[in-house]
Amino acid sequence: MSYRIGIDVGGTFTDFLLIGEGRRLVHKTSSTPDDPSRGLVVGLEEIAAQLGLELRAFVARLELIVHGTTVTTNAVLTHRGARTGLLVTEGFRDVLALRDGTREEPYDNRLAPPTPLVPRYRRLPVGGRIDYKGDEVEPLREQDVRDAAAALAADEVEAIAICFMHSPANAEHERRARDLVAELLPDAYVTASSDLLPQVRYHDRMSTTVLNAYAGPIISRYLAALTERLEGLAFDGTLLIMQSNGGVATPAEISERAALSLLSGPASGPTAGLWQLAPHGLDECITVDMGGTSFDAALVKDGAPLLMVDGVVDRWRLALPTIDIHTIGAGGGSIAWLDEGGLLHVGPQSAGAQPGPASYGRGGALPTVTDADLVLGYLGEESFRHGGMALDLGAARTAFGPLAQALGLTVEQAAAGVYDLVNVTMATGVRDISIRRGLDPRDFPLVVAGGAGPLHAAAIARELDIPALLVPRESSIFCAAGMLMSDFKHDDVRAYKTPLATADPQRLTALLDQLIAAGRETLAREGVPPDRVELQAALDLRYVGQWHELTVPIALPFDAAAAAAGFHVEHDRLFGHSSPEGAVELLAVRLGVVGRTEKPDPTAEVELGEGPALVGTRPVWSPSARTLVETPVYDGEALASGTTIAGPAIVELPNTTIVVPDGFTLGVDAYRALVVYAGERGAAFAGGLAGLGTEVAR
Amino acid sequence: MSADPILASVLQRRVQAISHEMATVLMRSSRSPIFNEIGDLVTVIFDARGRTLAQTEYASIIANGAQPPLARIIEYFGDDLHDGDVILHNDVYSGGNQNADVGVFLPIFHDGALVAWSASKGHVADIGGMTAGGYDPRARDVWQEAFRIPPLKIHDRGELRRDVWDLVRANIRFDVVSEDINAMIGACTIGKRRLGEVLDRYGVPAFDEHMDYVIDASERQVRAELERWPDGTYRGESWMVSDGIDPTARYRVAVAITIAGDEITFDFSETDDQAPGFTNMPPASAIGAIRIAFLMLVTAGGLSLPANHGVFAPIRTVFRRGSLIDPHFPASTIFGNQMCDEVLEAIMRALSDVLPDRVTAGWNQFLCTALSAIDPRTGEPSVSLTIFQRGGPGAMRGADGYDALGFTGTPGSMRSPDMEMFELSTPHFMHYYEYLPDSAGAGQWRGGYGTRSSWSFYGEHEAGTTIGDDVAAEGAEPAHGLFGGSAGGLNELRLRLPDGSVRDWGSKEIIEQIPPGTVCESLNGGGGGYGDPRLRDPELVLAEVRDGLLSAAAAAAEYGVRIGADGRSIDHDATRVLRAEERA
Repeated sequence: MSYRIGIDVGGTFTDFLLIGEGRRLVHKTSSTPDDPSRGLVVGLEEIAAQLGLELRAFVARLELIVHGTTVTTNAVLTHRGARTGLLVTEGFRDVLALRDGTREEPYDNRLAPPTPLVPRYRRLPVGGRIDYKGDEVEPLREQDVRDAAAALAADEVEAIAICFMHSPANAEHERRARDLVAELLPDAYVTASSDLLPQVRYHDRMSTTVLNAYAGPIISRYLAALTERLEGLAFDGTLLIMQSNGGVATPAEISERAALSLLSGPASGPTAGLWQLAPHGLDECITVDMGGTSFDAALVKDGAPLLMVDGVVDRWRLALPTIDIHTIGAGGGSIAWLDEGGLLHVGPQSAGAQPGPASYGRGGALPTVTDADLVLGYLGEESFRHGGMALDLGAARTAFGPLAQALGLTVEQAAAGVYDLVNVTMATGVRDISIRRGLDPRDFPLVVAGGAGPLHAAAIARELDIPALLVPRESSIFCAAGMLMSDFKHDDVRAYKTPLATADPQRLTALLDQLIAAGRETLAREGVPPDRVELQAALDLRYVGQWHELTVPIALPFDAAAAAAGFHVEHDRLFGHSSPEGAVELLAVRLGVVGRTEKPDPTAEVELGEGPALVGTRPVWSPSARTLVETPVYDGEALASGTTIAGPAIVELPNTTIVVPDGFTLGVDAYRALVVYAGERGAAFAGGLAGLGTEVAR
Repeated sequence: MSADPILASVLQRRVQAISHEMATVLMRSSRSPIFNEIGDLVTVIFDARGRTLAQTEYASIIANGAQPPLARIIEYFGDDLHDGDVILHNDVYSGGNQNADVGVFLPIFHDGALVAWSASKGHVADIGGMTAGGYDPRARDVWQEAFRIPPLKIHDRGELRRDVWDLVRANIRFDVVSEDINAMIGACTIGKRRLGEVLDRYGVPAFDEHMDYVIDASERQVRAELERWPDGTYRGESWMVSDGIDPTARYRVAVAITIAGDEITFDFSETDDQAPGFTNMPPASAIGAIRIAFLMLVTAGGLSLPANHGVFAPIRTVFRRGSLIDPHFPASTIFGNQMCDEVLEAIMRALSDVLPDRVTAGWNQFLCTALSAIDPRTGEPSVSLTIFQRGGPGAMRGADGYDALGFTGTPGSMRSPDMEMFELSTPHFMHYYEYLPDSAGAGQWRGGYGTRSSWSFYGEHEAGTTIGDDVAAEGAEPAHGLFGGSAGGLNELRLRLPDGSVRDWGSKEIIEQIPPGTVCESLNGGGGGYGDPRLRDPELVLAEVRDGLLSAAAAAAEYGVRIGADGRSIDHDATRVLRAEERA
């Protein structure tokens, strides 16, 4: 028993990072969307072969599998989730479909609303009413619940969501309905909103509860099948699943709270970024991940990824805490085009994987970002050889011909324009995640992932005045790496609306004790020893009259004055003003419980490189000379710790290429991550990294 | 130096991102629910001449009403503008669109010269006048509606003018309004700072030249689209019913649209004379309404445009002073924004025959209430807009109307309050809020469904003013169908008082001292249909019957679709017969 493996199943590839017995092994295999566990096992077979082991013998030596999956996300996106019913308070049958009353494109009268995951005929009203204080206005009409259960059973429903008005203030009706439904439909997957997310806002809670029920049977079946396959292979270790909140959980917990898997795909990225910086004593960064169709940015502050509670999955609100990842539709496949007025645009249309960029030679004829990278020499025709593909520079140039002609520019100039424009778009995304939190992006290094990320990262950093960025060795399987570094994490909330000044300390302490007991119990079920449990308490606070609340961390035991002071400071930081004399209102009490896992040592098992390896030169676009200039190309695998290279230069790695522009320097830290930096602040940052403290001559 | 089209594209995105950042800050830091829950606001970056460079709009009717006041501000202050100035404005007789929509304008200087403006504008909870919240059909002049703020410096060269600010505050009922104005100033300051960074990097001449290029590019794009529209003059009309004084008074809103090459003129001179009450529309508001209709038409043509000066440059507008649009001073006008419904309806009707692929059928005209009370739970005043009362838009070729979208002036850009938050934050108890069955006008593409809603009042000294139209009892006509589609539905609003009596509530009527325990019931109708309903896919008809949105009787009568006895299948034979009969 000596290997740990992170497995990230994406739409196209399944990524693996294996650590143990003195090895780090990166592997990619094709995903099998019809049954993702099949591709997963194929990948394990391939890794076993590389280790010279039989599959069973290899699996028997796995002590930990951490797995990120998109099965539930795909089920929602393709409307192939469970057949779901919904019980609502009578009179509010359309709260789900009405959403918040807006449509995404105000002037587009052809835009259709999203098709609700539960059609109206399966959204059934139940009599009974609780008011905002939690008082019962009208008793629950149990017969309505029985009738609804019978109707839904006749309709062969697999999952039932229950969401009644003001259940966070008083969950009695929901609990009774839940128990009745469980009794009448013992096989159904049942989610009561007050069990999943007891916080106010009827639509947000209902949408989240519906997503949970809709995804529940899907993830339960998938995990059951996967567990069976692994057990068949004599797997005797621990299987953990990546959650949207950046933590891991056991299959049993995820099956109960299926919605926590909905945004789990990229959720380990920020943790991976943190892990890259941790050995240098750093605990803050912005992670960016640029792939073929999208660009994700996330922020890590004070050693933890930032969370949000206003996520959206396929136009439906997901109000559970999830990693705040800003996604924009810009990637290598994004298509460049000119509008009728002569303004240049990149995306949102993408050539995707099929036909792909023109340079893939698969029939794509429109100019894309990848084609621009190739025209500019940032990519070479051989850069994708590890993926078994040669890029066609002639095809890329041909694709840019019409655009260049229309702009009155050379092909290279037009490609450079596309490169600049997509970088500005991505930089705006990075800026957005930081300013939403009142943070300045200049204060954070970038950690760069994804095949296309390192091609653009230095330009994005320059745009944002960020002095340094770091490209991990495992950049292309970043999320799989992050999974191995994640802790157990569970978030819970209790509604309690009251002026903060007059909050009842006993009630508050009781609520927190409830949350702490439940959190500890969950972690105990997952096998986390008590000495590895950490508690993170927070309050949702706002000024009286405000509609948006801030989640403000608090120390335990609770102190109202300290909480209010923390709120004023946070409000001032985020919005530039605060009213220390203003009345503060409490809306909810939150608790995150974290179970620290054992993590591999990032500083161990590093193979040292063989010194600088100039492999040649190629013509690369120079933004200052505005033409192609012969530029050195290095084999990144051969670079030893402590090496520095002054830009302009190109550094090629098996699955990605790093562009080091003029004015930037590339260095290799003690753990062979590649650091690109500029200016005094950049040099100071790099100087603080282990392995780069002293300049090493080229 | 000649403009670099790529730098122009890059700068356009940067400036757009700045207005977006301003809106983010404003939404999150303002205090009143109208700002931050509903989002009745806009942020804009203008150039030195007051041309719109970029804007982020949550409330379209306001978005397009921020520019005219700036033109007046620039004219008024002339050279007397300095770095650190903050200018406040609301007055409809100096460019404002509605007195409750207050604007903050910051001149942005670079190297000593005025180079741009950042602005934000939003609907405040109160702006003085005789009634809290401002909406009062009894108002006969502008002073009864509002404390007028013509161009007014509240900061001079970075210094708050305390006496001026205190004068403004003294004339507004709620402290929250000054908090919201501070939040607007904060948003504009962010805009000023960010634009300063862009100017530091590129310099003013390059910035100006490239923003000119962006504006020209947008203008070229719109002119190319207008060239595709057939030349000619087209007339359309719509009706406003009730002026808040006489509930059956009818006013005609008439437009003559002239398309000539790449220019378009909207001439509303034949609109009826102004009303004695508050149902008059300031020109800034009317221009906003025209732009909304125009953006819908060009979007339907496949264009996706940034909202800048160039987009609207080919538009000319003509109003007749003394008419319902552009009334004589000092007419009251606070209802004016609501007349976006009438303006849009007249424009869509005028262009139905020449742009049949771009227009919509009639929209249900909006009807909601503006409520103010003392919340007995806190003893504090409470002001709310019940904009969850939403009707349906008209259908268009290829698309059903978007259910419960509501007011044309904020076409799906203003949020409805969440039902639980509404009860937590205002003294009301909701009984129901759902789609209104059988409300959508039938058609090959049906109109959007309206809604039914009901709530109890328990505020002290509660008063409510309705702001809307299309009330059945006043003799309004429902939203029109197009090309064989059926008409949509009308609105009904009534109060059930604790003494058992029932009182109909008109479309523009204030009711004061609503007794606690009173129940309001609201029906908001659907939009008009487009095309012959008998061409609609029977499966779509069945789905709505099954969902309880469409009765089986209406399926047969309107769509010629016979639903099986089980309510979940189509009787195809009977349907064939029914459809053949009706089409013969």
